[in-house]
Amino acid sequence: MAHDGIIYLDHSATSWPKPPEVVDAVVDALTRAGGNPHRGAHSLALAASRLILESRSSVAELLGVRDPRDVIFVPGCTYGLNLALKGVLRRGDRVVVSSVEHNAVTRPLARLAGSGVKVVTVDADSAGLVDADDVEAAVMSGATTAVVCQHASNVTGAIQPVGDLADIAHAAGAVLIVDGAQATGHMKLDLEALGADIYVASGHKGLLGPQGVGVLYIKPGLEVRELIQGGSGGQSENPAMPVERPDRYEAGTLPTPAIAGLGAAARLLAVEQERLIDEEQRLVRLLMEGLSKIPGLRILGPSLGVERAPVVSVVHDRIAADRIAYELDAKYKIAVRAGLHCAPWAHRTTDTLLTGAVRFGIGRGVSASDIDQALHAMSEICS
Amino acid sequence: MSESHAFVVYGFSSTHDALSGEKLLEQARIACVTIPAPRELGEMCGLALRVCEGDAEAADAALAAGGLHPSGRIRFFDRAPES
Repeated sequence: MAHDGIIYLDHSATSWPKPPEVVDAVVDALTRAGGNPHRGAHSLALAASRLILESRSSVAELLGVRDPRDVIFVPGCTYGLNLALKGVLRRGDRVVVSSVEHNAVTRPLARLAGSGVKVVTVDADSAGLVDADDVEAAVMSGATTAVVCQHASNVTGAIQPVGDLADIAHAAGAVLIVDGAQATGHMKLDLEALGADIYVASGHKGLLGPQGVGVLYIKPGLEVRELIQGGSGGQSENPAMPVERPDRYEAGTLPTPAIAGLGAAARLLAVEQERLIDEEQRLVRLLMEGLSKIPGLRILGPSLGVERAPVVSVVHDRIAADRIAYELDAKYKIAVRAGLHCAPWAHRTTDTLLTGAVRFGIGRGVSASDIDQALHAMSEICS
Repeated sequence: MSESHAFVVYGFSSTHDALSGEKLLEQARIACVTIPAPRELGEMCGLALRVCEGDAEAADAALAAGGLHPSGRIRFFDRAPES
């Protein structure tokens, strides 16, 4: 959808424009529920607290989580992944991770490696797909505490076999930590059926919420240390964080407007998601078919017809990715992202570490006409 | 001065649980007031739910049916108006 004349194809970075329901919920939170949630019992504080309760229930329902207390609101996916990795892994532990992870995983792991955690990397193929057998072999070659894998790539769109990885991890007594940043909202999810022990999602990408909130799911009963300590609104006399969820992981004031917006988005997705997913997949096919006809372009990731998240990245054999992205924006008002997308590991796997790539991210509001215009622009730029 | 009434106040281990309890009681059509947790419940920062003593048995049942287990339950007299 052209909005303010912009064709927005950067949904992998953040979704835009936000649905009116989300905007309304944010405004409502700011104007009607301006108290500090979980801090006090006056009417404005309670209004904020009730919004958070409602949003947590809506998100839990959308993601197939029975007890909303297992849904933790975090500042973002990166924070959630840091919490998961640093809350599970200790010095001497061994972790198996795919070679296509985002910096939100690789950088915390680099820090942990410096603290005595052994990091074992499993290579994905050139399309960015991880083979479950390779993960199993890595897990079986040493006592493993955790397996970490993205659900879908922010570079190639490749969807990883996380259900199989959960089985492999559990058979070895390890936990599976999944980075769901690019999958959530773009795939129908039932987290409890999926088998992930920890699943982390961005609130502002496929989930359509505002920036400033992410979602961390922790399987019931799994012990994970909290990342920070502070006020939680209750049990204040306790020098330690409460052990109860979600309070244990939510020290400090929660961003009520963002969470209210995310809740509204979750309720919207509960109704629209099936149709949205079908439409996104249709547009991905249109885009890939068109891009494949432009000489000099290579499409990264799984081939046409193989399931992928609505992410399509390309590299040209002659024109730099940053130049293409700049021209798309400056001449055609088409918003995409060029570069390494905070995922050098994935670019190394697809042999684009030195060039980067141009990434098209499709989401709610993108139309077939937008894709046509993007293809026309790409044809002109690449001619 | 208004007359004292007997109430039952439920404490919870988190605000999430307290407000879940509020919702359960609302669904069961049991009038409750969400109040700052009184010190008699052992902590002074959280939320508590106050119901008229006459509704307490039904409230116990509604909370239990919802899988919610209050961390405390006290009876006290208050001059506050009935819920």
